Amino acid sequence: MPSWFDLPLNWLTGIATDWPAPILAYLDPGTGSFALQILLATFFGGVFALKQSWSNLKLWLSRRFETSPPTADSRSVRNTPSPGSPDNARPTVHGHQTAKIR
Amino acid sequence: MAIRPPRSDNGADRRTPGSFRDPSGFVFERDGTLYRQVNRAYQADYDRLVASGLARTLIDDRLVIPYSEVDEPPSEPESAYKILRPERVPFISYPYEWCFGQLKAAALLTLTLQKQALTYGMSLKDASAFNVQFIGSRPIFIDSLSFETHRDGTPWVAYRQFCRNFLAPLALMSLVDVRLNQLMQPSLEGISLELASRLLPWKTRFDPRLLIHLHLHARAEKAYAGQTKTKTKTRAKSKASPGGSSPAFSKHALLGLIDSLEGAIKSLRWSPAGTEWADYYSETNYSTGATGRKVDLVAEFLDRVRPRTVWDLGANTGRYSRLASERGASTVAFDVDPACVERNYRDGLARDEQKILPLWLDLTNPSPALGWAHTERSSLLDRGPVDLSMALALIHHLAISANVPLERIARFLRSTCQSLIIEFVPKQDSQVQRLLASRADVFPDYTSDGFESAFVEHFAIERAEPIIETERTLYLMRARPE
Repeated sequence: MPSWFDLPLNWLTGIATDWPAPILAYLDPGTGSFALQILLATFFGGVFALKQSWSNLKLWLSRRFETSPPTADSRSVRNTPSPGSPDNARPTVHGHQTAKIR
Repeated sequence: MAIRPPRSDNGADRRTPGSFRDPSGFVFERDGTLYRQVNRAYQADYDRLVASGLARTLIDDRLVIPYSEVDEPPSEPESAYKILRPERVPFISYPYEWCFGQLKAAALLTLTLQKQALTYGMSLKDASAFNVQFIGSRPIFIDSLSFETHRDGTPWVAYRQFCRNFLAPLALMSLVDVRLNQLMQPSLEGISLELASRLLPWKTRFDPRLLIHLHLHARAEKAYAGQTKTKTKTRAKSKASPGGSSPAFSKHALLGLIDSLEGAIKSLRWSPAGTEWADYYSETNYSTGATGRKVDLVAEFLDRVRPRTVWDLGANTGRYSRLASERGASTVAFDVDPACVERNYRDGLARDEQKILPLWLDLTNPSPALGWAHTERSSLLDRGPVDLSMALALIHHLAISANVPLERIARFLRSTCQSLIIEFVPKQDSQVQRLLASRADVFPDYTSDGFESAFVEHFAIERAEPIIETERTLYLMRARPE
């Protein structure tokens, strides 16, 4: 029999099964784990957005009031591609015999 | 690259016993070289992994084991897409042999990989702790086929696995007892969240991250345990938007989830203190002169044998292990005390040592062969033998504390190595006297002569040097052919 603690969780996770079907994974991802993630999606996204905004604000403020000239280190920015953008990725070596990835 | 036809002798390939669950590929050994077959089932994901630059980035950053594509006949041609030759890890270790710091480092590596993967439009489909190995003090991910194309709107497939393999054991080690990582041994899929939730102190429910990822997660698992897939899918399909592209779980939410897990892992801490062995070197009965002589002798014996691989059994915090690792030997430093292993690991981390791997091991009950058909995870002896084993200030603990006859100790040590540096600690020694203080002396054979006659059955004694200012003797032995 579910405890008093389970009742609201059952109700909420019941709503949370609204994910695109089917989910195919070679490991069983766990229905409860999926439900919990979807249930808390807004929470995770919101907290993450707040943290990012706070970091951006701090960065902006530090740049705004920074007086010293930028150093060589601060000018060198790592070439990180934008999300899902293979065009911006580093050149790759593949599809050739004994092509070393490293 | 076209796959070459199979070799006529590919029946000699030895497939790694633990590599069979993922249909994406498997690892096999041929003529002493390790290969990974990428199956056609993983072709699209593999191509994206390479073409996106993710593989190169992770390898360059030493987060994933380096590999190269090779023109080698496949082990199973009907399913093969590519053959890779990964760099070999010096010693395969398992999460139940790691200290707290090692498991935490492996957890943070896994989350870093997932964040990097998402940046390239991919995601980790597998977050098993067994996919992480250590090269010295650095964790490295060994399963290069664990990345798949991320599908928008889907949660993290490996979320539960991550919590079971990393968060639950780390929380238990940090907040209940550091020895609870041993629960990973009978539970190769990770510690049940329901069990972890039950064992953790009530106060952890007030930590929002542990509340969500462990306690609520365990409840959610329980709540859905009785539901059939058909029922769930039907329900989901009825609610999903046409085309199944409903953004039920945005990438922002996914990054938030990873960030939250990272915060939870970072907040867990454990400091080695107060155990029997953590202060061993300051409480030993050795004088400064005796310690210096012992160091000189061990170094001299190591220089004589010049081993490439060393196991230091009962290594404490690794003082003598480092004599081997500093000479270039790939050294595993085993100890039964989690505090010693933790200190040893932190020392190695501080010096960025690549040749010494501290691990937890109870020599009286060493890691067994585990998993499917007893072959998925290797026993300690299956991972040897090594060129040289060291058993310094150890024999009295095995013979007297654990009642193991000298002949059996000799036979076991023979199965670990080709050469042996071993210290005999006689009954007159104050440390042995402490062991005998509260028990009957039922060890009439525990003498210098008894020790030598037991060991000459399995080893040839090459050197036997007394350690000044002590009653002890340091031996260099060579294994006899079995």
